Amino acid sequence: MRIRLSAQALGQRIASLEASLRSDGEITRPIPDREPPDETWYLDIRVAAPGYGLPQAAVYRYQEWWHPHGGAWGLTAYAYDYRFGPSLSGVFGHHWHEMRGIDPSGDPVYHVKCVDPARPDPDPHFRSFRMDIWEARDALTRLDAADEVPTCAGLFLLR
Amino acid sequence: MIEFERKPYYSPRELAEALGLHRTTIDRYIREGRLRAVRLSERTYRIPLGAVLQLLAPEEMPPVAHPRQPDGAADAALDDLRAEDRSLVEA
Repeated sequence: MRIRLSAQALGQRIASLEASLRSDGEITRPIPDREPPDETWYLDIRVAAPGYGLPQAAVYRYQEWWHPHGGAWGLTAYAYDYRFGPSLSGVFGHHWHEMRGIDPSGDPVYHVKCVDPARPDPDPHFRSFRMDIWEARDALTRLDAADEVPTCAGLFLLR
Repeated sequence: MIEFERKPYYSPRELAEALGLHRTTIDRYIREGRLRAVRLSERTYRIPLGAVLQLLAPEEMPPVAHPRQPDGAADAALDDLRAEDRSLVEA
């Protein structure tokens, strides 16, 4: 099921996101700009954690791609990432975008991208399901708040 | 602004002590949504520093800047994601 919103609702969603995400860290590069109508509305919010004067330990990045469709804006892809570890080389992200290596039809594929900095794997894509941005935020901030370093244990490869 | 030790996360008990509030007050703020908390398990919460600052003085939080995104940023970012998939296509 694809999410569709009016331009006003999408604008409100972005404002609400920004207000909420400030409690997770410092927003370092919010780019909720809208390109000309009938183009992509690209959301790219980066949040440095913990922020507010403490050394940066991790970064959250929330990306969404919206396209106009039938008088509304439809979500066509997303990537919600948590980057951690040395040089932010660790990644745990919830993604939904085209992966022709998995689905040649070009339909977007729900998956987790997981890069364990201690054991980087050449294929970091794992099975997953649809994630709302708020659910993803809860899941990613749990990884950051827990005392353990995230690993890819228990995930199943996409293929 | 109240002075308190800054750390990435606080337990509800630590925050109550730091702010001179009762633990039940912190729990109530969390329940009411006034204080953002990350739920680690059924009974374990952690409160990020940013949430504490928002609670204490939301008007002092750094304003959010809105730099103009470079032309083509949306396509470039999506291309980056697709590029990760290229090895799968070639396999």
